[in-house]
Amino acid sequence: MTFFAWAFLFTLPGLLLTALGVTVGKGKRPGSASVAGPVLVALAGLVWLCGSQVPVVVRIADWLPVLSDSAFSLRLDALSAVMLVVVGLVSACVYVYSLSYMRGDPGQRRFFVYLDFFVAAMNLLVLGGNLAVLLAGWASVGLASFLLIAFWRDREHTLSAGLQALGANAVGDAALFLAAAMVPAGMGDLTTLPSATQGFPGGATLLAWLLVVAACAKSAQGLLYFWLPSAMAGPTPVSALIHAATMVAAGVYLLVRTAGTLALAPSVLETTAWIGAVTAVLSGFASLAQTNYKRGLAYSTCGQLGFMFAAVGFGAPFAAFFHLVTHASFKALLFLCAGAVIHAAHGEEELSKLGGMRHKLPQVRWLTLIGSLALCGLPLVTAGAYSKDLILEAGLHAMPALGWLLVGSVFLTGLYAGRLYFGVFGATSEHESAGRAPADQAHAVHAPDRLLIAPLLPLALGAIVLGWFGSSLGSTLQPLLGTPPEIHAVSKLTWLAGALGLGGFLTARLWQSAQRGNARIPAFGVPFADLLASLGRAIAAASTLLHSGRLSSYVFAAVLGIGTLLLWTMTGRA
Amino acid sequence: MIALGLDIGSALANVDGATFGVVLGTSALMFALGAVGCLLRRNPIALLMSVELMLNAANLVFVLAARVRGYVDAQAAALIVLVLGAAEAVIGLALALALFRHRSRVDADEPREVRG
Amino acid sequence: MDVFFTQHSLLAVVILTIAAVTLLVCPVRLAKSMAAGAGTLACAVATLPAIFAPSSETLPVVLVCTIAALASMLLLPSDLERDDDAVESTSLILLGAAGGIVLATTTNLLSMMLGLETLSLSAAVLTALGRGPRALEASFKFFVLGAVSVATMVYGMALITCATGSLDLGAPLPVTDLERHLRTAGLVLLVLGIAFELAIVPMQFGALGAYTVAPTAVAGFAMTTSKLAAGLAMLKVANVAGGEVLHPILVALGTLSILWATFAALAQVELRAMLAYSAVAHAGFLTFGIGLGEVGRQAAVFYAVTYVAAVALVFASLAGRSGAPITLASLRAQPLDRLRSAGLALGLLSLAGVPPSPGFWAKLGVLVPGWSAAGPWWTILATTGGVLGALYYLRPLPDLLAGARDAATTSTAAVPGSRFAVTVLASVVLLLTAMPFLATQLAAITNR
Repeated sequence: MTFFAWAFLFTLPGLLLTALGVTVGKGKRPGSASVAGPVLVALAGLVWLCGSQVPVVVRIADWLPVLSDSAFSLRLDALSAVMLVVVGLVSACVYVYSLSYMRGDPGQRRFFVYLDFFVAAMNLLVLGGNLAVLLAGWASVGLASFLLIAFWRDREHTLSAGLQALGANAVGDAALFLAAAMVPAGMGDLTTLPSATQGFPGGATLLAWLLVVAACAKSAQGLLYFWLPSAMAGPTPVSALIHAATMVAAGVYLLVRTAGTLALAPSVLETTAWIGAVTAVLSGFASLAQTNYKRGLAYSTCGQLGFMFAAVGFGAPFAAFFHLVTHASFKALLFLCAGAVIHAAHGEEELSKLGGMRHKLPQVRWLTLIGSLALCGLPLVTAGAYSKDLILEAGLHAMPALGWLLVGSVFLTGLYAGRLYFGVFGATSEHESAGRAPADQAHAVHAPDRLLIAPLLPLALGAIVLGWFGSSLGSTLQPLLGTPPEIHAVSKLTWLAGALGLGGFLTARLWQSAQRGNARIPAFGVPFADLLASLGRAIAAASTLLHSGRLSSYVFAAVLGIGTLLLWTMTGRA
Repeated sequence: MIALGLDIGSALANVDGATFGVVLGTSALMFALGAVGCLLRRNPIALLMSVELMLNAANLVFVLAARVRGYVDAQAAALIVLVLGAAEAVIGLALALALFRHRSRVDADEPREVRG
Repeated sequence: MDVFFTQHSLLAVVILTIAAVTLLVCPVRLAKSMAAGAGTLACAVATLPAIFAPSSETLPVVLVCTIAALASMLLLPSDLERDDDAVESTSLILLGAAGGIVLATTTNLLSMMLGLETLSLSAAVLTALGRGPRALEASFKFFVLGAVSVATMVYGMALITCATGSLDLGAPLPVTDLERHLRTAGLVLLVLGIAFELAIVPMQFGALGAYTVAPTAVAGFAMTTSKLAAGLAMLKVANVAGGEVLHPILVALGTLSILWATFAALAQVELRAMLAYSAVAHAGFLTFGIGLGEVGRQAAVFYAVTYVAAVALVFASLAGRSGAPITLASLRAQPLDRLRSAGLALGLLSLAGVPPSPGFWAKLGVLVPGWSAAGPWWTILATTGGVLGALYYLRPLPDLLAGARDAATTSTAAVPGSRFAVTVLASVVLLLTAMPFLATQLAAITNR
């Protein structure tokens, strides 16, 4: 079992093989040697879950002897095992999908190498037994995300989008770095974090703040939301894996993992709930304003992560984690379907130019419908409904005002999900309503091959059935997160939320036909990233002002520095 | 001059407090003058001379140390600093010559291509 | 008279100096490769005695000699103004290495002064041997500011001698208030002199230009040797002579350097200039670690070792690519070959302090004790600067990793030994990634 705690290494052989150009199978597709890695990762998690479920701890003491307590520690327990399964399965689907999606791309090998690196880093994050190891994974996934966003380096804006992600992530890295620094003996175990916070001023509240800021950066919450929509510049499989299902959920994972510490700081919890709820509502509106299919989905991801944040804030980490799991499945499905559409339309991502895909891609249409309904939370038959209900229930119980706000925003969720769905698949494109499909487009559409469709099926299955596993997930996580709330298949709230979601979805249909597919509310929101970038540029320019090339000003500055320091020391001592 | 009234302790028995203060004050003044000279003079040779002034201020303190402590090594240090100053001057003049050979104005602030 | 330094470092210094002088006065006109080979050989011979006696005294010897060997191996004649300068350059590198060893290992003020002066003068002249008028200009500025800071340092040494009655750093504390004040002032001035060699705020002027304009191998040598030697010297001064005075100053200077250099580096578009500014930030981290006192001591040495490895890797990968500025666009137009791209990418990752790289562990080692030893605010500022650095280091990364594949022919002239150096250094960096405790064991030696 100890072996499974090293699961983050499982994708590295694939990385090496792919980097060396080894392929598997008849097609000689670059990257095919990597596919086994994530499957093994998922298997490791599954075997642990099916076994005795005894936490596995690996500790290498004196990993970094310059620190007083410096173990490299890994921890495989229920949380990390479930995460391993989620990460492993979603990435296995994305790998297979990418074999087809990225075919013909000159950088396909590099793409798979980056993916392998990402999965390894993500698993390190998940398996990290102390803050320092978690941070190593945390910063590594940021790097992987940057490399994959900037993957198509010939396209415009990919590098700047990558740098935006890097910048936002830097804030989170700094916060987590400081969290590791403030816990006495920085590499303290994650499980003993709450007791470790007792001994120093600021204590749990400060630590909780740092953790929440870190999580906000990674999960694109609050003011740090801006990088996620830009991150859609990367290839679509990346958007599905990293920027929908796994990496952006790492913030939620961190908060769930440290729920014990957060519970000691009620004020921080309350703020977290507010951040999550406000992000959920605002990003819902923002999604309605998008003209780009993927950006619309990205805002939806922000919103769903907002639900999870709110759940953590409500003191219901299990609900957050459950939603993380179901969301991983249906959002990855939605993104991969979007990829199939974009692939078929030769890379076209604008909603106004997509449309009428219903007949061209019938399978994808049904799969997208499943994903969208799970997103809206159709009761009983979709996974999203179960996990979202838990969150709403916790919200109404803990902070009723926010709870009702979230209930209301379910309508918004339905509305944008419907807008995207009917915008792409509905028969509202102008050409179609005129009764004929344009010849050029009809000919041009790529039929998706089997490799592109097959990986969608397990995800769709997950989007339907995962909700039924809620209570077993709850009992698995019980040692870590306490007794889970009872999961009702049907309650008043379920029907209310379901009705709102579905209502939103259908309203979008009516709205769509009324507006001929071009319906959207005007864009809003501050160009926050631009603001930060120009601020950074201004400071950078100011920093180099002194370096004018004039020797005398250099000497002046140096002498001034010497004088100041001397004066400071001598007066300070006197 | 600040040091004039201070009790300089038994260790400094070889010299009285007033002399100690005067010498130290002179050296500080020389050092400050050298530093100001480095700031204000644009001519590379004057620049180098200012640096020499700063080094000589240090030498004065070394000699003072040798005197008050009866510590001969400090005198040796002063001699070594003299040699060091000479070595610096050689390299400095060579660099200045190479740099300003093709320039009409000999002004240390003039070349501003490298901003760093 | 007190012992200047241990016999191992003395032996190394003597070997290096003799080799340097021999090269200079050699009547036969040596070919470029011969000079480089002789330099490498001299460094290897100088290292040998030290390798078999690991201690805090010999660690800097080994490291400095290794860097010097690399630098002379990679010293590319095309980087220099005239091909004949190869012999002079090699002997200057050897002299600089000797100076660095003296600076790092001695506790005698006079030896320290001579070591620092040898190191900074040879760096100035080496810079001047680069191509074009820019090299001369940078060298002159570097020299003038170096002279000012050496004068400052010598004045500080004189004050210390006057106060303690000894040229040894470890002399017992004086009795009277006046003497103690004199000594404190002297220590501050001494630290500022070393700060120039480290290139931290407020003494960073001059060094940046030299790091940017000097021939590739020379810049790599100057950036690593001076940082390493001056860092160890600073550590020594802070530990031997008076931590209670100096530690807060060092933390403040370190943090200021990190912040200032990080923001200034964000404005740089040229890779070499960016590396020069980043050198200030890294020296800031080193100083920050030293300022933490006992808890930061090993961390600082560990930081220095990982920094040196990463910078050496970066410059080995860039060897032979000087003259034209290196920007994102030029890296795209003329990509490096695969090995060098990977080496450069790995080096930049480590400099950025992003895992998986030893730079990450090094930053962790310095910053984690910071919270309790230096106070939260300084740590917060330093951490902010540290993570923002990723924004400029990683900018070229997508192009480096992708572009190399397209390179049909290598755009760089073949530098003998370059591929070997890149391979070795990259292995070292990778090894430190997976097993950081190897380097910390090295750092632990300094506690003996």
